Amino acid sequence: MAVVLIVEDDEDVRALVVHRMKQAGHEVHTEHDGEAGLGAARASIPDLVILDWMMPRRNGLEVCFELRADPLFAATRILMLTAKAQEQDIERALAAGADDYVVKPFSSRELLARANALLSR
Amino acid sequence: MIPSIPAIPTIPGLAMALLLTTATVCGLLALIVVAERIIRTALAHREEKRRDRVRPHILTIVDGDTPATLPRRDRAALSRLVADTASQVRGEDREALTQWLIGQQFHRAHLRRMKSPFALTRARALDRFAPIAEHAPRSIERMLGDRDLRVRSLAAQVAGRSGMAALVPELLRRTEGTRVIPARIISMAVLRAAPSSIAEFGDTVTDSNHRVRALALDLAGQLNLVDARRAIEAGLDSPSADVRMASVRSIQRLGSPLSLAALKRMETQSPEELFHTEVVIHELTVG
Repeated sequence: MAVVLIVEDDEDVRALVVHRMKQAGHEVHTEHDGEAGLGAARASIPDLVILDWMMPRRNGLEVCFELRADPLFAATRILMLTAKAQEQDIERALAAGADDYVVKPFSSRELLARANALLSR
Repeated sequence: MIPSIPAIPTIPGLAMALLLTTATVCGLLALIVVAERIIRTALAHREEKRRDRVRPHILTIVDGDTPATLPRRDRAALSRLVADTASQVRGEDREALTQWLIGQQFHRAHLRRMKSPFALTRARALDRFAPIAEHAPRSIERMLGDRDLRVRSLAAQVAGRSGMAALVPELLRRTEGTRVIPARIISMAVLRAAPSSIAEFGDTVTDSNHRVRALALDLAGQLNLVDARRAIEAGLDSPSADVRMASVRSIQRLGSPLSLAALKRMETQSPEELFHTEVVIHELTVG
C-alpha cells in the first residue's frame, strides 16, 4: 500500500481517480488547488502525487517545481494528469521533474497501471 | 365661481418628473438583475448539492454495476453528471458511462432538440449529446450539414473529439460546396478523430475538387499514415499546385526514401515548388 496525493480541481475527475486508487488498496489524500496540494504533500510525504496542471492559486507545474526542489520529496513520484496535450507541454512537465504524463480524456485503468508502475520503480 | 385652471407644468417640474421616472426604471432594472443573479446562484447551488449527492453513483456505473433507483430529479442530475464525466474519460470508463446514458434514453430529448428551428437550441443539444455521439454517427453527419455555420462547426468539433474516423470523408467534403465549414476546424477535427489508415479517408484522396484532395493528402501526412504513400505520390501528378504541394509536404513528413523516384519524376511549375521539392529530395537522400 502506498500513500497517494491527488491534487485536482475537478471534483468528478478527482472522485474517479480516488475510487480507482482506493480500489487498488492505496491510502489516498486529496486537495483541490496547488497551494493546498503543497501543504498536504508536506504533511503526508506521499509516495506518489497525481497532479493536475490547470488549477487555482498555484498551477501543477509550479507545484511540480517546488516538490522537486525540496529534498524531502526525493523519493516521491509525480504523475501529471492534464488536458494540456501539446508536445511542448509534455516536454515542460517532464523537464520540471514529472515522472509520467497522462492526457485527458484519460482511462482510469491506464492511470492506475501507470501509477503502480511508478510506485514499483 | 371661477373654475380652477390646471397648473401648467413648468420646465423644472417636467425635469423632476423625468428624473423620477428614470430613477424608477433604473431601480426596477437593478432589482431584476439582482433577482436574476440570486435565482441563478440558488439554482447552481441546488444543482451542485444534487451532484454531490449522486456523484458516488458514477463510480458504481464505471464499475459496470447498476446504481440504486433515484428520485426523478436526482436521476436527471446523475445523467448530466455522467455526460460531463464521460467527456473527460476514455476506454472502458467512457463505454460504461455512455452505455448507461443510452439505457436512460438520455439521447432522446437531445435528438429532438437538435431539430429545433433555433440555432442556439440545436447547438446546446448537440453539445449535451456529444458524450454519446460515437453511438449515433448519422445524427452528427446530419448536423455537419446544418444551416447555421456555428452548429456545423460544433458538429465537426464533436466528431473530432469523439474520434469518429468514419466521418472523415464527410468532414473533408465540407470544406467545399454549400454549407461549408472552415478548413482549420475540419483539419483539427480530422486530426483529433485520428483515422489509423488512409482507407478511412474514402475517395477524398482522389477527389475531383482540388481543395478537398489537397487537404486530405496534407492531413494524411500530418497523421503519419504510412499506407497513404501511394495516394500521396499520385498527388504529385495533379494539375493543381495545391495538391502537388500538399503531396510534397506529406512525403517530407512520412520521410520514406521510397518516394524519391516519384519526386524526381514530378514536373514542377514554379520556382517555389521546385525549391520545396529539391529540399525534400535532399532530405530523403541524405537520410
